[in-house]
Amino acid sequence: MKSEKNKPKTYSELQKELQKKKEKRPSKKYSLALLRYLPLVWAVLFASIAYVGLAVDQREFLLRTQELSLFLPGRAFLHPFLAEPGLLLDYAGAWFTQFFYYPWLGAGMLVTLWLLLIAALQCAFRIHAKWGLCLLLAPVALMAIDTSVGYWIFHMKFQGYLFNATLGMLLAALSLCIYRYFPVRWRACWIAVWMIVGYPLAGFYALLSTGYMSLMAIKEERLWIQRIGQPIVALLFMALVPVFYYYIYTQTNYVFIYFAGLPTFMFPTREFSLWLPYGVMCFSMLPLALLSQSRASLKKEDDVSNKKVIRNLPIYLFIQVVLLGSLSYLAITNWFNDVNFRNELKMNRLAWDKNWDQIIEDAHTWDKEPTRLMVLFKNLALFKEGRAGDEMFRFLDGGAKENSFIDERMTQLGGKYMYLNYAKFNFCYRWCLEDAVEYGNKVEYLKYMSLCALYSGELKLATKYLHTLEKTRFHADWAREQLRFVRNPQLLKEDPDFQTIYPLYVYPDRLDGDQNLVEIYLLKFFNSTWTTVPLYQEMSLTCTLVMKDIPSFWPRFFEYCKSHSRVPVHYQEAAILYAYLEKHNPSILPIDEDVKNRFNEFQRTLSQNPGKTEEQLQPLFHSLFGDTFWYFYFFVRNVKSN
Amino acid sequence: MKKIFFFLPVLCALFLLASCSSEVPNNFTEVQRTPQIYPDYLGITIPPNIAPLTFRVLEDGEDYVTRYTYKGGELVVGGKDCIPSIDDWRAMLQAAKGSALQIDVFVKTVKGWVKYKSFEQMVAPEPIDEYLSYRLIAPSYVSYEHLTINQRNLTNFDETEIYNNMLLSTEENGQCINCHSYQNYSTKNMQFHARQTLGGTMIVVDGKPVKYDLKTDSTISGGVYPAWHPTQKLIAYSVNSTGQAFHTRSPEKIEVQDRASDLIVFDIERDMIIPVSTDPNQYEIFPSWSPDGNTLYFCSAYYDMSDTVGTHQGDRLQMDAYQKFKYDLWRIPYNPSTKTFGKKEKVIDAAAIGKSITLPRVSPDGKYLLFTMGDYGCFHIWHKSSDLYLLDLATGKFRKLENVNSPDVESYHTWSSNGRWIVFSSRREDGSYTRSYFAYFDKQHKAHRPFVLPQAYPEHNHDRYTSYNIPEFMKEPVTISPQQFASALKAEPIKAKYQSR
Repeated sequence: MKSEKNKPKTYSELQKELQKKKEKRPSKKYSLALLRYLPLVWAVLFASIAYVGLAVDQREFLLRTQELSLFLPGRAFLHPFLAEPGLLLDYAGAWFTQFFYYPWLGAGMLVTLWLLLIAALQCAFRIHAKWGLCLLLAPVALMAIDTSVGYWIFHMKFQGYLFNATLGMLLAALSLCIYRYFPVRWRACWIAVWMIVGYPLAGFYALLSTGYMSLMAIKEERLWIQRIGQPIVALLFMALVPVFYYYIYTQTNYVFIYFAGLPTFMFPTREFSLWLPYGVMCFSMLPLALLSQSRASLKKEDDVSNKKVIRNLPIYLFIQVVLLGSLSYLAITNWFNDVNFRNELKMNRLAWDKNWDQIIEDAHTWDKEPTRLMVLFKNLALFKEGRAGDEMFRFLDGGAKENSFIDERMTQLGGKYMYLNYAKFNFCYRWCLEDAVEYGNKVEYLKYMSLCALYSGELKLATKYLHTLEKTRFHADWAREQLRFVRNPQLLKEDPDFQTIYPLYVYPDRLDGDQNLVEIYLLKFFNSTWTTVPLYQEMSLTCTLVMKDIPSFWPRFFEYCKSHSRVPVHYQEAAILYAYLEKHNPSILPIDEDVKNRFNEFQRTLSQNPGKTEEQLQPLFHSLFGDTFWYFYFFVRNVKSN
Repeated sequence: MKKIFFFLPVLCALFLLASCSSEVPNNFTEVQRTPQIYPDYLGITIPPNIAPLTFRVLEDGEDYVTRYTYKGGELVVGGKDCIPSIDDWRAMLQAAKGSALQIDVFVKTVKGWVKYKSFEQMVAPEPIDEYLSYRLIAPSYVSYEHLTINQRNLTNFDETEIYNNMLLSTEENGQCINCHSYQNYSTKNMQFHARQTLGGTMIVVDGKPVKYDLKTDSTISGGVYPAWHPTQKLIAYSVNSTGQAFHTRSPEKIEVQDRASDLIVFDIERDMIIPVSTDPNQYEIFPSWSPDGNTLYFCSAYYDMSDTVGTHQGDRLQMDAYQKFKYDLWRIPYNPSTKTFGKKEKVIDAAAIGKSITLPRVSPDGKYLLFTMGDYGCFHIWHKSSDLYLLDLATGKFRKLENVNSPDVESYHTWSSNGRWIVFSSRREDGSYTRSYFAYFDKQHKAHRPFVLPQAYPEHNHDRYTSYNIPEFMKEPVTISPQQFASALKAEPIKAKYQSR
């Protein structure tokens, strides 16, 4: 006889038991619900970090990027972007780039586009939440593309480079979304239509997404005709559509038809690190394609294998953290963080804002060898403040090479602004136009060209440039301010900026060239000319000091002494040194006692260290006399200017 | 509800359209001056087949109406930008051929409508050649990027590319293109140069493009400034060694100088270069044939090169002497049957009057020669002193071309095939960006007030940041595609041979 315990249970009893067991596991359900939100958590986390990084850390870079771009409404601006496939991405990118005028706004837009990309990728590939981190592969690669640019921003032929790849990938992801939702039997048609419509819009990115469509077909289609047919259609259209459009467009070199919309860096081997993020970007959708699932399959996984998912979650997360860690490493190592680059950007902005004090203050904090451009900005600030003669040698000097793939030229980095401020309007104009021809018109070039035209009296030409700037979103007010001077040139004479520049515009015309060397040209020019204009005299004397040109110094020094009641410290330092070197009697020179005493100390220190080389003496003299012309004269040598 | 959102924008658009009048107001106040418009199309003479001359009314107002009154009709256009439809415009010009259009501009101000003083545009009986080609290039110094040779249909606004240098340029290997030229206004025989990457001279003969290398060991360079013989398969060229320097202060910014230049002729049928004038102390440049093909005109400056050739000091001396280079007008007779040249003679001694002549162009009837004259040098597009002059070939007297010149640059000019229209380059608008202007040359041999190339919308000239370089009339468009030219440029060039004298 069977006991009550061993009595088999009825079906309804079993069901009730199962129900009770399920009710006893609320924590497991809760965990599953949390899992579903993981991709959102990753996305928000990434967006927050990226936003802060861009808006705060890259603020100066974004501001300058906006100045080195241009967007105008109207058909004349749009027309060149219709000349090549993929250039419409740049048109849209240019529109977005203008919002970097407020870095927090432009960065916000960029990050928002990345979030949209994540959403589009999820729509396209439908991966399970446990693989959520893989959705960040593409945005991290895009961030690396944007943050690795560095000095290339001065050579970029795209107006909207920082947005182009993002917009291209977004279009690619959206096309994959549409593919996903297309009825299966019509997907080959979508592939064809997308290639025909998408290639002119997005160039290479259309090819990329079409490639992924064929991959998805191979992986997911059940019918062999779809599994083979779609890739064949894809390959055919990927091969032929660019060739077809080569004969429609008249501006694409045949060798580039499959790369339309991608940047063309000049030195492929040296710039490998700039290409690397693009490579990652292209392959970022591969894991998504391999992990993609159908809706039914996703639901099944959620319902049935809860236990398995929860149990294996740490393994999955570990794999993805490793993956993301690698990408983050890529992003961080490509996060262009060069101190001198940042300093140059900041000084350029401060100079435009006429914040000379801040430039001088920042220059005191340099702790590594500056670039020549930094030194020039510092000297310009001192000159504008009338302090060059007293302070220009009190700073770290040098000529560090820019951290760039190529030998950078100052004419492209900040030299134009130097020429403008030293009244070399034709040279400033020239380099603006040269760069405008090569890289396209930019806000910065238009501003400088309009000022050059305005200051040199070419009012019609100034009007042309200012009318263009008037059409921009954020520079219209500045343009209107300058147009006042065009309408009433008399007002210009009262403008403070003009008053510090125009007095230097007193040289005669001649045929000349700067050999692409801004600083050398300015030094030689001011060193070899002289006028009675006080500002010009300051400039000429300081250049003579930098050139260490004793014969040019003396006549200038004496002329200066005649017309000024006070002689700045560095001029006195030069005078007493040169008198000593040429064995003149310094007592007739207007040298302060402090300077005399200090020079005596200099001589004493020298005599106390006989037989030592310059290298051995440098640290000692830098600590004692690093803020004098004497230190500059003896120890700052062989500085190369670019 | 959804229908409201659909129709609302449509209604708004209709409202906006309605708010731009195209009816002439009945009540208005008269203003005793002509309106300010851009471009300035007041008092000009236009061909009967030109595209609409769109303009913007620069007067402040809320609404604008422009009325064209002509023999037998009236055309009314609304809007601050006066953009007549092409069909209406054509019909009007056909009806008004040989007579004047009277244009009235009405502007609605806060005080009501005002009517400005009428102005006229004469419609000439003679048409203009239908096509114009030009190179679009920034007024740049050394660098170049996108360069195109374009053709524009002058009866409408269609502009297409004949060739685009980006078809063969890469980042490291650019290609410059220049000097497009046609035989007798026909595009079946034409040429242009490509420099640097895959460089050569593209010569189209009977519609077939072939690439040539015109550089020989006996010439200074490959062919530069071209001039097709009107009937023979022969192109005259200058060969030049050119340099440029930059003004430190002058608004004329760039000085282009030849270090050396000579004249040659390229016989296409024999692939043969024949020297014409190669005096080392003479700088021969800008060949141009008479319409009968019996005379070759050119310009030449004298500079004693002894002891300075190839030295740095010599280069500097020559550069500093840039204002001393004065080009005179010369001609040399040519025998088409023997293909030989006679003795050259000076036509105008410009140096003697302290001037310099460039770009001679003989009118299709052979009676006149149009040239540019400035204070010095040969690259007058950068010289504000340069103006257009007309030489009467029968009397030998020349005069400044009335009504045409401005205080700024006038240069590169050419005649239409019927000799009634002149196109020339001018920088009068802003001093830097060259635009193409047309002037009527009537049967009394007087030039009329010029007008700028009309555009689909008036602001186009402000928006365009390239110059219109080397405007040349054509009777028909170039039909070879840019890709075909690119393909031909990739081919190995035919090497020209040099025939010594």
